[in-house]
Amino acid sequence: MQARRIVRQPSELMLASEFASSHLHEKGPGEYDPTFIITKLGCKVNRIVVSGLLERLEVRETSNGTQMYQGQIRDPTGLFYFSVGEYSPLPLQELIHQLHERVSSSEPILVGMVAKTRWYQSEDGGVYTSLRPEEITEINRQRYANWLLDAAEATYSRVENWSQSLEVDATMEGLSSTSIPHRYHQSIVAARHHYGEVDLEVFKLNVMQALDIAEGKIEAVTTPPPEIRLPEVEGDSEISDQPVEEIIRMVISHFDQGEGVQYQTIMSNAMSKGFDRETTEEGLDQMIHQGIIEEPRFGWFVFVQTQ
Amino acid sequence: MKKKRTQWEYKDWGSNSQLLPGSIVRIEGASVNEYNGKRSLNINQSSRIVLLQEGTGSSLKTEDPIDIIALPNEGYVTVVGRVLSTKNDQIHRKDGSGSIDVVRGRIADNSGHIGFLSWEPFSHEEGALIKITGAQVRSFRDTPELNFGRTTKIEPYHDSKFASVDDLKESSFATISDLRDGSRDTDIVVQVTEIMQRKFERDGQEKHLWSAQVIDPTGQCKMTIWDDISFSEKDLPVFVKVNSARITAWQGIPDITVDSSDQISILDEPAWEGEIDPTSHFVEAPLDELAAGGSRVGIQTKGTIVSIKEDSGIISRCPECRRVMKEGSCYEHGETEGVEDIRLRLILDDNGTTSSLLVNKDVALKLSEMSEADFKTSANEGHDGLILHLRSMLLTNFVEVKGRTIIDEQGMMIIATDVDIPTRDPQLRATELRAAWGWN
Repeated sequence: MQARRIVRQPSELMLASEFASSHLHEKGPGEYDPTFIITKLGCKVNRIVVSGLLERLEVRETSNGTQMYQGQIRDPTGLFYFSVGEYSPLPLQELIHQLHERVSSSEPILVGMVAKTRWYQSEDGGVYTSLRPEEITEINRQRYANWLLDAAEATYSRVENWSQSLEVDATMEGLSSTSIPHRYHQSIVAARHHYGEVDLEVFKLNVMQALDIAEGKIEAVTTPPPEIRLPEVEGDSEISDQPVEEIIRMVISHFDQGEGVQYQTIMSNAMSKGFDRETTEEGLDQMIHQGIIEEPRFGWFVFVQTQ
Repeated sequence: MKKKRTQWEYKDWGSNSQLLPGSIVRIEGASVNEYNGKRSLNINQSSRIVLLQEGTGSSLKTEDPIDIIALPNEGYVTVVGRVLSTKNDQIHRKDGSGSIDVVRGRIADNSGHIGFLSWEPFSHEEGALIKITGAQVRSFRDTPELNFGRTTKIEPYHDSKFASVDDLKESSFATISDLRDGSRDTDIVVQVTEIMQRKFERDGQEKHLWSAQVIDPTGQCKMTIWDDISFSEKDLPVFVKVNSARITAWQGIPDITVDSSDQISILDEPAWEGEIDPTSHFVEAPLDELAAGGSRVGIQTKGTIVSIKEDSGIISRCPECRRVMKEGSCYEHGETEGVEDIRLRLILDDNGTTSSLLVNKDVALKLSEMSEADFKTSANEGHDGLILHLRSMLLTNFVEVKGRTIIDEQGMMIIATDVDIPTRDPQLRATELRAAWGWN
């Protein structure tokens, strides 16, 4: 038998919302076959090009005692989660190390990244996506704005493909009667069977947001979008006399809608109450340690369910 | 560690429509057959087939005629077409045990044309409209060809609306962009931009051939004429029509090979409007279109830089063959004193297609905004720093590329003569996109 040649998988430009909302994966039968995520817009990806604000970068100890970095990148539509370990190429590790120091001092850094797509399944069966970066670089506003437009264009054409596919049967034969490029056919069939009805308005809104930011209509290229805040309590002073754990407890109970509450939401609320990043992180660690809260997936916090 | 694979054939007695190429199916109630020590599956009429995943392959039945342009590279097919040419030929057995009479020719429909080789007597004349059932497509180098054998059925076909021989011949002219290594009987019109005589010796006799650079609106390539020609350098540019040429290729560049001057006729009128300037003649094509075709010269394309390979930077070339040396040694010429050069190895992606992109010294200096001396300094300071700098200049950037492509079993490679990062105004672009999508 002829050995199958290893071909490089092409990349796609993708906004965070499309990637983060996807949970269909595919892998060939062979040991070395590539793995793919099939997105809600029927795009099959093994590798994507992303950009955004490097919002968080932390060192974690892995179970076998080595260090790895976990981070998140924000674009106008959501977050990408990624991790860089000792298996990553050296220039990448070197860069991440430099960036880590700067992110820790709260410097806003825009990055562009080419990454392999990853997925993992939690114990309750939920599928989460993440990225394993291959190459990262710091970029300027101009390059970010143009990437946003390129990604918005790519997303828009996938939205168009999807709505065109709704006019025919979700089969290879049905799609062959449309003008949807052939390379999307198989993944659109799979996505239509897996995701069922997809709300395209959400993705159109995402495209619009990307356009707004790229144009500079919203001055948010290097600042995160406005955070959701706890309602102000009367007589609330800048410096709270409550311990930080109490604030964290309030934020999680107020905002958790089942998925947990994001790190950034907790952080910004605690900071508005006068706590610094370090104290808040200590508070989070303490509460995890005490078994009050847990982090079921990176960057999301929930209360530990009591039996 | 090699896993042993077993391949079984199957016979489907139940005409199950789910058994299409690429499908994943569950088969229940099939029986195993053994014949001459080889086992196979019998899928019986009572067997149950459950389709788990629909195939991506096509469900061609060999009885349905397909357009010539859509023919696969291998496999059995049915074609309806008009015979454009036929010629008796002989194939000499490699072991010298004699020769076989064959018929070669070309057949066309509205979608395209293809060469054929008949191993059986073939009596249909030029202009005949025929239906060929069970022809086998085989590929020689990059060129598919129809093979007619004992099991192929050829019969006259009647369709008064089918295009005439003259129309089909007119449209069967190739362009430089569709030349493929290994093609025969290629008719093409080109403009000759350069010509030179090359002398060589064969059997102690001095002989010569003519080597030309040719061009058409789709690209440029070489032409080699093994005979004398009726025009000279001072007549250039000359438009010529070439009949029944063979196509060879060297390093991916097609070469129109002409054996006799009878095959060339000079045209009085230019075949297309406006003169093409060979130095600035770059034909724009999207990356996926380039990847689907053969190697081409003088192309222009665009995409996103998605990788800067770590072997980019200062390299050492073999002084004899210009190959990149590894650890002071050339693959062909062994250990030698290398010549220093700079090149970048990038990956360019666009629209679901990926290509290697090789960038020469001049373009590398432009893109990196570094001098040769800077490259040397950075090499001494550690290679990672250089790679990080190159990424900061290029990674995720949109670029426009000029150069030539080499397409082989390794995939696609572009040898760039220029790479440009165009200045794009985000505000203007956003407005244009809104207008295009009717969002104003």
